[in-house]
Amino acid sequence: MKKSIKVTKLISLVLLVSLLITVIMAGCSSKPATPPAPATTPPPSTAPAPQPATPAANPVAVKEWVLPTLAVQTGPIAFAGLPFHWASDYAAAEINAAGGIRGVPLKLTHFDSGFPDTTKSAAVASKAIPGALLINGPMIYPEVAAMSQLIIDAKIANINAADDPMFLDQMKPYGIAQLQSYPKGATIGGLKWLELNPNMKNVAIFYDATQPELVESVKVVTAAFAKKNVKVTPCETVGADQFDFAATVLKAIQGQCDGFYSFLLDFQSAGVAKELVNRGKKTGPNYLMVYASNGPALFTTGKGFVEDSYLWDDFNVAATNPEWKKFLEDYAKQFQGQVPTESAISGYDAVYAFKVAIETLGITGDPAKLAAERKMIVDFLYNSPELPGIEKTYKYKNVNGEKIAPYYLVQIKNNAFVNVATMPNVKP
Amino acid sequence: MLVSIQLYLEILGIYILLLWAMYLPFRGGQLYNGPFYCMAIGAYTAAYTTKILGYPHGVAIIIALILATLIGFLTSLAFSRTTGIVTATASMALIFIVVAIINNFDLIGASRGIWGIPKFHGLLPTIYIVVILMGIIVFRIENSRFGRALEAMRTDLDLANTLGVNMPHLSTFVMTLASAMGALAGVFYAFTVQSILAQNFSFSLLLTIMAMLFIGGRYTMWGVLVSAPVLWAIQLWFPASIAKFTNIFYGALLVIILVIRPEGIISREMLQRLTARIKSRSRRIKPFAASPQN
Repeated sequence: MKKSIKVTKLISLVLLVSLLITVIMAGCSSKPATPPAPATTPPPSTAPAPQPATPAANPVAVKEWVLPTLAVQTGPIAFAGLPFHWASDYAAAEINAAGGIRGVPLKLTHFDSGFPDTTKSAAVASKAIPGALLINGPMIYPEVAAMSQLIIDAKIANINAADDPMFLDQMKPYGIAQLQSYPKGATIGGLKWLELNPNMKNVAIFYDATQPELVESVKVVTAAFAKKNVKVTPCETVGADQFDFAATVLKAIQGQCDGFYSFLLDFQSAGVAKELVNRGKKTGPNYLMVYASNGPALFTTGKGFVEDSYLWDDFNVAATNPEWKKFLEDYAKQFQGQVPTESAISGYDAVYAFKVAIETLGITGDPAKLAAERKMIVDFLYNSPELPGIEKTYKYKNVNGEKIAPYYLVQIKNNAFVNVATMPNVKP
Repeated sequence: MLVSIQLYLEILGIYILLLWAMYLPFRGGQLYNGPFYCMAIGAYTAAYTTKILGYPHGVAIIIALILATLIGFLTSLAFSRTTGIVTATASMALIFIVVAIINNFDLIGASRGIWGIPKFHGLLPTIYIVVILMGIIVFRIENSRFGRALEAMRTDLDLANTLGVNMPHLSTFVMTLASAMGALAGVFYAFTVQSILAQNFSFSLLLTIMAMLFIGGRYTMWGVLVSAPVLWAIQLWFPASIAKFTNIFYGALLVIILVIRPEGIISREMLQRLTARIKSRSRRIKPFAASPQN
């Protein structure tokens, strides 16, 4: 008996030591994946050059600019958050290689925003906000909700994932959308898809009923499709951790749908396509996906099941400018040949938006002027000029921080995206 | 830093309430998850009454407490007649049912949740006044015939029966009290974060609370006062590179504790030894105090 107690204690001691070693190693390996060496040419300036304030009038008061970057690093959607962190670092490395912002280097501080634990989201926000001029992220709605009051109380600009005008309205003028409006994009993309497939009369929409912006988008799309005499059959899933789509797809088949529209994540859209094909339905041109489906699993799990299918995106994934091509190459090297996700691109763009704001406004970073300079950045971004993105320009509209930029319809050909149409961001 | 400290203390108070709410039925051998769905009901009621109906915070707290406790009471009538895995599973299922109902109930925002809940000035002292009051209630129950009856139930149901313990009544009582504490935790959560979604009250929170309960000590009310501050501090004040592994820490700590010290950090034996030591020291001091010549 005494021996077994000793053995138990020994095992426990080993476990405890292992835990301590893990903690120490975790602290040592705190840096996110290192982005590659930046391009020697200046970063993309797809917008007219901003007019910076006179340096002498507003001398920089800091040795480095600090930009808190919040996105999931662990949990069920870490696959979306890690590219966000990587791409933000990529942009920061480019900026620093070109001399920094107003001659001062930029440093990103990375936080795990904690989804699905939204109490953690509020906790990281309370750590990230003190002293910051802008918060980059998070990139999922429940986290934005958990942090929203802290952001509003701090009166700090927050480029985040709440792209629906109704949500941005709650946080105005501090909430700035990383992405264009989801319901608008879903409608514009959907209507373009209907033009390309005029014979479709009954469309199944696969969506996660626990995500409010998707629920809203389904209503908006249903109304828009009804005007084109196309019926919609909503087919609900129950969260980001659903992997079996038999019941969902059966509902679409029983509804005798001839078109399939997926509002789901990449592995889910791939799973739905696979389920449809296995049950004798064709995907291809009558299968449309949203930007959230643009992820690694689409071309692995979905390989062969999504060929010729369409996807609408906020980003011009088939752009041809050299900076974008280099970004694509470096991203593919870092993430096993994958195509950049919208979270990666928006993380990159947000860092440049921060740079443009500081340079145009002559921000000093002086802690004594923190409140005033936060307000200047809020006002600047809430009704911004054209800002440089990695593959296009965009701006924020002063109604509620909504991002105004075109949508793009692409088709999957031989496991790659081919541009089909550029769709202006106007209310359909 | 001040915002961090305030948030830390507010959420800590909420966790302590939830932990005591889980502890009470567990004292009687029941793993009852009712505090979580009552927390959701309490939070949404408080948010709706303040944000939408415009009632003062005090009125919102009373309405939320009454409604959530009533629902907790009604469900506890059924759970008082079940034991063990049945109670645990069925009450856990109710969490998911309540979350699903909230997500489909447009009146309270459905999956959008409720944002912009009006600020409650004086929230922090209010939380801790309630925590102290609840602590007194839990302590009094522990050290009363109710506590002894719960102990008998936990030890052996048949034994408790033969001793005349009315198990359904007692279970209903502690489960209802636990539901009320869960409701208060929900109300304070809504006023702290000022925006709520149904997802805030799901499995992730349940796992966090269970880990804190088991690590701190599940057979005494004092264990939570050790585990909750420490484990919550990991998320808030450890460097980001370490804090992101919080779930791993919780899981690893839970395994280690269950292996080396299954009763948790603070056990009843430890408390009894400590109490005995304090009493014996005070007895030794008293003879000297009584004779001034010394």
